[in-house]
Amino acid sequence: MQRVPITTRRELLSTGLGLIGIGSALPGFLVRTALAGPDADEGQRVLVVLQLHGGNDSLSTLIPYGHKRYYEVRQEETAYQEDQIIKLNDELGLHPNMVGSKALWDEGQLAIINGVGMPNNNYLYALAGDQHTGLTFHDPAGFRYHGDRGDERRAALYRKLNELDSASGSRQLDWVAGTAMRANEASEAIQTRLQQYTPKTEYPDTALGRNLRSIAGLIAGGLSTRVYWTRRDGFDTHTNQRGPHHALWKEIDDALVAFFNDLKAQQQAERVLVMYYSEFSRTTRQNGLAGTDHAHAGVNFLWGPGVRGGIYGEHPSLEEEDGLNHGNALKHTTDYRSLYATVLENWLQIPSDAMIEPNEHGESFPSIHCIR
Amino acid sequence: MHGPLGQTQHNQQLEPLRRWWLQRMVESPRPLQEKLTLFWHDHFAVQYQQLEDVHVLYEQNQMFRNYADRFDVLAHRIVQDPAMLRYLDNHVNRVGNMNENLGRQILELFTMGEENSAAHRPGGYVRDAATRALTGATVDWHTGQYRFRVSWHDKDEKELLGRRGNFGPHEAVDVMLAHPATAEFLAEKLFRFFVHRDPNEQIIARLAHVLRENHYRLQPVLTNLFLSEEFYSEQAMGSHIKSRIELMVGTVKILGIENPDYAYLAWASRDTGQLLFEPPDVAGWRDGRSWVTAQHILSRYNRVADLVEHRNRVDVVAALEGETFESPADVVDRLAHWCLSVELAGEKRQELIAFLGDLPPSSAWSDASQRDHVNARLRVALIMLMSIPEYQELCHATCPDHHAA
Repeated sequence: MQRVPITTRRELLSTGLGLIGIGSALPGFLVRTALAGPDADEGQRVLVVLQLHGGNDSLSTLIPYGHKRYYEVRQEETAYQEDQIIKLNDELGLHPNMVGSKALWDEGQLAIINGVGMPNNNYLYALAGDQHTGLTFHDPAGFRYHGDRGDERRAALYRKLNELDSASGSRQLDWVAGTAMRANEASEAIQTRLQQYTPKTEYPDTALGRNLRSIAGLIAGGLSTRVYWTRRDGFDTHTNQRGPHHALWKEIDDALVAFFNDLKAQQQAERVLVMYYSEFSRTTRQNGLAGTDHAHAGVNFLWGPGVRGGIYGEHPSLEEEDGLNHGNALKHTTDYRSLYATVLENWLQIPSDAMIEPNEHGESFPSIHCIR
Repeated sequence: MHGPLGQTQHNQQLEPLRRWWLQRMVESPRPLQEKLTLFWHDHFAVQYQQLEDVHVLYEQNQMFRNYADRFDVLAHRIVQDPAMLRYLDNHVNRVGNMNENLGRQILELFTMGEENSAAHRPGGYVRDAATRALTGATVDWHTGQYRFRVSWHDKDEKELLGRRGNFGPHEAVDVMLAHPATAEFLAEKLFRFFVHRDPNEQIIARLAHVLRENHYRLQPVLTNLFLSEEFYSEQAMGSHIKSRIELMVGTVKILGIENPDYAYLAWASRDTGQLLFEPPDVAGWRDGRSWVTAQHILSRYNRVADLVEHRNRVDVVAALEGETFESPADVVDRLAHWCLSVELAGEKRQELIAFLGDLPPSSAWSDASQRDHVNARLRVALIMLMSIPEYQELCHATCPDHHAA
């Protein structure tokens, strides 16, 4: 029976840590991405995906105040008035709480991609995907063995019992033993870096703030991971949308500002790109409960020095005849796969045709020139 | 399902349901029945988050329990089950506007498997026939119960798996049950659930034969399986990886914990990544090695350690009362025999013996002055024995029920 050899620490680290997700289950496509390319050795680029779980309302984030229908489909419960909006041009503006993002915009470090969506999106949350080859935890500091209760002797015994060869030579047992080793190595790699880490800026004490702080610590600590994933819940705003959505964008924007300030101070910002992800966007018209429901296309953002700042694509028309669902859902003007192919090829330098199937005509998806 | 009360109210009902089932798993006098209930939940998988209805899940769970032994009954009942009909959209499957979700899954996942149903295509034809047969099987809007709407049903003749007829839902199920591939598919699933993922063809053929001979009653098949050479073979030894639920429930049983904290167990199952009523998708949980990922192995270790030491303070001294131990080696061997069903490697055993060190004479352990600190040390040894790869495995899936201190 073939025994699984105890591999070197370096090998374990590189195969076990392709993708780290914080507070989330990992979508399969990202896991495949993370495992596709070479590991991030010193200085190589890293992608951080920020999932806004529940379906973020695009019309309240990138606000098409210049479209005359905006104030017809959105009333006072959900609309923003012109004096509140952070204007980018005559047509579009940002949510009032996106002050930090506007600062990045002014430095050319925010790309805004209009009308991102996919055909055949069934408006349901994506399946959890393959969780087996990435790591996710709610709290990275919690990703460790606690059964030693901090006792050195117990910890030492635990390590030995999980590193020594097993008796029976069963393939299954060897496989489990290998997995345990990988987990312990990963845990050690993560804990060491987090413990040694001193951020160069103060992070807001919010869920996202804490997660981005951990991710910055792992990036600055030189972990070989290429793709990080973090998630903020709460965007499924079917009722009384304004309060929660407003607060959420403050949390997001503040956390992103701290994240990039920290990375810049650590000289790591150039290698980091943050990509927005939300399962779908929301209805054009507000509903009877001062909220919005599941719909289709919406804005997407890329933050970071690696971005070529600007607005890409056309904002979908708000006119009833141009929309889906009797004009209550925006049609996408950018296929999500174009954005994703761009990030893969131009940022992570992974050939995208291995990851993304061509469209029904056999064509691959056109790039968007939003990355330097 | 997004009313003003939203998610919180539903979760308030779902958690008690999970705890209720975990309690049944631990306390039922018919552990095999509970195992089969979990098997059927995995086989006929539905997800709470798509239904947000605790009541239909409870009814479905009781159905699996009450007919755990009868695949033929369950196959018929599942096409009348409101949870399944809604989960796979069959409640809107009607002539002229078909939805093939259940029609496809009943072939590919519930009866004969994807490969075997593919053999009967071209072009999804068999899936079509099944879907047409299932039109009209819906859920009554007012009562939430099963209702067959005749006006929604496609009454034309269908050709299904080589048979022709004006099949309704139950006739279609009969056709699927009669197909030889169904018994093979189910036999293999049972083997994988109870033993390991690598059965040879002969044993599957034999089990399938027993299934067919007994009209899909499970007891004869399981008896055959549990008494078979395969079950006790070297390959079977140490090859069954415990599912996360099996790990938690099994640990409670091995340790003889009375009145465990079921809320904690429900949380532990969430933490280790197997949430009752929330399989990853319609194909159920991925078994075997998928139970132990780098992701979850540490939480498996941690949750078990908590059961031993924090939640319950297992009284190891009481469990070993009356036995004599001459040396730390005796103690380690006894503890290993208690909780492991695979052999502990010599080097690991030595490390544990060295760690445990000298204990007071076993005759004195029950003394008031000794009991607490001996218990504390023995608990630690037990935790160390359960924080290793060996504890993640069983010789086979019925082991915990035969293991007592």
